Amino acid sequence: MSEPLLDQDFIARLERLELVSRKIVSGKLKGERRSRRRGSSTEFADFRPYVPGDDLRFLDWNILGRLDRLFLRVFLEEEDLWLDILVDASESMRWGDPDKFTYARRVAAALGYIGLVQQDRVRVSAFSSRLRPIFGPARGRRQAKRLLEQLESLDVERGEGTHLAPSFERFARTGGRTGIAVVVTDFFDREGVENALRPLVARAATTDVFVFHVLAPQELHPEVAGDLRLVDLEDGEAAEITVSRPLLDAYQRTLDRFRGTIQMRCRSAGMHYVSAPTNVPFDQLLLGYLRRRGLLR
Amino acid sequence: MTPIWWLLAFIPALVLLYFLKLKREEVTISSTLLWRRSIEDLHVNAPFQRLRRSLLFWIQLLGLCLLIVAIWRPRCDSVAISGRDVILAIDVSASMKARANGATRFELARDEALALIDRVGRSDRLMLLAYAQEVETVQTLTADRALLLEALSRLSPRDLPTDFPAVVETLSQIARGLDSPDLWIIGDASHGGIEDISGEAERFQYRYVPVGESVANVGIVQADVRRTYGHEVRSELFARIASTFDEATQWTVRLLWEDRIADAREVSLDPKGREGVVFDVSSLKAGRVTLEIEAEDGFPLDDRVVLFIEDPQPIRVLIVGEENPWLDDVLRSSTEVRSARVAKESFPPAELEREILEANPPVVVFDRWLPETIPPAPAIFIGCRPNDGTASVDYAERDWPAIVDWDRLHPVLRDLAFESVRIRRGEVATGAGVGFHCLVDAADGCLVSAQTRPRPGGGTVAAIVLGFDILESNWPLGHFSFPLFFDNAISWLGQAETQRRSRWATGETLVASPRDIARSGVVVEFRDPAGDKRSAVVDSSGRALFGRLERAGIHELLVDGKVVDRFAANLLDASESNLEPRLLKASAEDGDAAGESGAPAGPVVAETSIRASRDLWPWFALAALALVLIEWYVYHRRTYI
Repeated sequence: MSEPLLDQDFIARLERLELVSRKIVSGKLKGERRSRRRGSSTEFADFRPYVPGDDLRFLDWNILGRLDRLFLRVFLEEEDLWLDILVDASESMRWGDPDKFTYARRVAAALGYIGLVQQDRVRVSAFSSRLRPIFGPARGRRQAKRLLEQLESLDVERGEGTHLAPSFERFARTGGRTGIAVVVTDFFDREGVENALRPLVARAATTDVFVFHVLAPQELHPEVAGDLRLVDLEDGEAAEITVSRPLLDAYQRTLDRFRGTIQMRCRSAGMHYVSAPTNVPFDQLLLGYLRRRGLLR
Repeated sequence: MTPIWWLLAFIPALVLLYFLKLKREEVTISSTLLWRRSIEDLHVNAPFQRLRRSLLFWIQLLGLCLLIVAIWRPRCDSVAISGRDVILAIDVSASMKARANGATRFELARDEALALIDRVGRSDRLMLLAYAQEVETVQTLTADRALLLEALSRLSPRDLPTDFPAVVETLSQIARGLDSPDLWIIGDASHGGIEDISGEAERFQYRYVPVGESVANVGIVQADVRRTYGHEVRSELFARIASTFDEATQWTVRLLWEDRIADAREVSLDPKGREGVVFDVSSLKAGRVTLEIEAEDGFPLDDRVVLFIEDPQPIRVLIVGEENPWLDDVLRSSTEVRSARVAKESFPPAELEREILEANPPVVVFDRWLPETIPPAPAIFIGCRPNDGTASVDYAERDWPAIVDWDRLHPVLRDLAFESVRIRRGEVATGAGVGFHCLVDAADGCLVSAQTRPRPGGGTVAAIVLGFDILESNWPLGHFSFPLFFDNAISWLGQAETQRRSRWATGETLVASPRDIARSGVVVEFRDPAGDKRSAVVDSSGRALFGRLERAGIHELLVDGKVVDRFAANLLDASESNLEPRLLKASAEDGDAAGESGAPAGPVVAETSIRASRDLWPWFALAALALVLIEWYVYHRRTYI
């Protein structure tokens, strides 16, 4: 049996957290948070002129009596929140020390758990060359165990490369709901990041999109030397190199450019870019960094 | 080396490259995406990246160009050949076997000859000659390179000395028969003789290509075994050792009898000096003796000499004529002489003719009596004279001829005195020319003489003629010179005739007289040191002629396939053992002198070797090989996707 993604102590600490969306979200069930959509909850929000067809129960009779005009009282409606978690399950994620896939699943598990506990609708999907749902949508604490089991049993998809664009497009098409979307990936897609992010950019108008860029420390600072034949884990492509200082410098420049491009694209589309090196302790990322960034409170 | 061999030399280089192919460590990573981009970034930002991108192409292109140029075989013709007919003479004398820096002089000369053959135009003809003592035609004039190369490959150095004046004389005669040929001589110039060239040959011009460098050498330049007859018969081996070292040297000279060490001497030599050494070989039995110097120089041929010694044999003397007790007593008293008297009526004895035929005749003493036909044997004539001498001699009778002088240096008269010898009657001779040597002079003629007589079939035989009857003198009475004279005379005559030559020098014509050769139908052959057999030429006198000895070592004489005699041939040539290039030095000196007189003489020395001045293609081929190496390096060291 695989190792548990979250231990009990950490789960206990997650109990006190809740996900925060800066977007107004709507749901079919009243959740534990207020949406920006004015509705029929008990918390007053505003008045608005009456129009035929409005529910007369919300008519403010005091104003009618005083001003002889019809106004309706508008209340903030409490809604459930959609939390979509997309985990990169391409082979490139099963690499690094600590490996990126475990790290990504722990992020998904933790955020999913928080969402389920807070009665949000949680949906988890895995993707490599295509998007495939692995959990939900579901909500409620009772679903947490199943979520963790699903994530623990999740493995990378062998023999398939990373194709972000079709996966994200499918997510954008099938979702259609507002809330929070969390994407955990290393972005190693030969077809480029620009195209891949485009569907998420469209989705970001209604959804808080958090992009977790997971990289192993060996990718951030390669410790290689000599004459090497580098073989790609996903497609077996080889690159023969002779490690030299200029080449390492070039790699560092390429990596910075790679990360900078993703970050800039995310920012311009109102998405949140979260750099997640796997050597940064997981609890530090979740409890410290994400709280500061406003995803959790 | 021909081009094909050069190209074949590339194969091991390529195989080596294959085995040296870079083995990269294989590392699996999450994605090569970033590395690919890094490499592209590196290439894009590298200086001259356009050039670098196609560096391999340029290297390959340049390598191909170099190979094409190499196949084109560029030449650097600093010395041009202009003649239509080219005569090329290669030195094959013994000194061409001298080795320095891993190659013999002959190998260097052959390379030069190959270069010259390559340089000659396709329509021109070339004649290939070899020379040492004589000039030998290896290949007549031909434009067929294959024939020339084949003839050149057959050529090998001999163990012969060089007779350069004779060679130049012959070459000049050959050249006269052609229309202004180019004449090239390739040799080591380690021989003199240019000053001895005279006549037409002195004006004869040729290009001399010297090969090899000066090599310091020590060698045995003379050696012989001689028996000394005197109070004690001894056999001694005389040898002379010469050095061309610039410093004083000391060498160990060993004497071996049948490969066992018999004696050894230390010999000290002055710079470029010579020294004699004598070994007493009297105690050695008949057999092969080897004299060798423990020297590791570049010319081993003269470090070893092989000789044959024989057991001492008493000299047989046949006395014929009147009774002579004095003479009989003297000859009987000598242990080294075995004398016998023959009656006049039974002379010549039957065995004498056979002994003469076998070149082993006794010394015949004609005492006041002569047969009708005097046999061709060494002889002493007492009171009578031969009538078949090679010199013209006149005789005149004298009473009381007074002895006035004698040749004290002649071996027969060594340590003798004739002051008190008185002769009542005698004949004095007056002769001249080759074949007559006066030993004892009277007042108006020669009283005792050494003469030569013709030998049937060629050659001469020695004789001593006493122009008086010893019984008509006081010589036998109390004069020590009387027994000593006959002892010396018999030794001298017997030694000259009966002692077999212990050594032969290469270049000489080997002549042998085996016992059974006179029989008809026998097969007489010589086998040289290399094992090659050659039929002997048997002349009318029954001597077997081998011809010129070209190889040092032991030659065997075979009669009907059975070895009957052995002969040792050695270089023994001081000039050939001197490996310094003296010829060109002498030529330069002569050239200076000639310059003053304005007469052309001597060789035109090629300033550089034919080989060095001609072929450039090996350098292009090497450059192409270097480029292949660079291309390999660049290809495997580069970073690519």
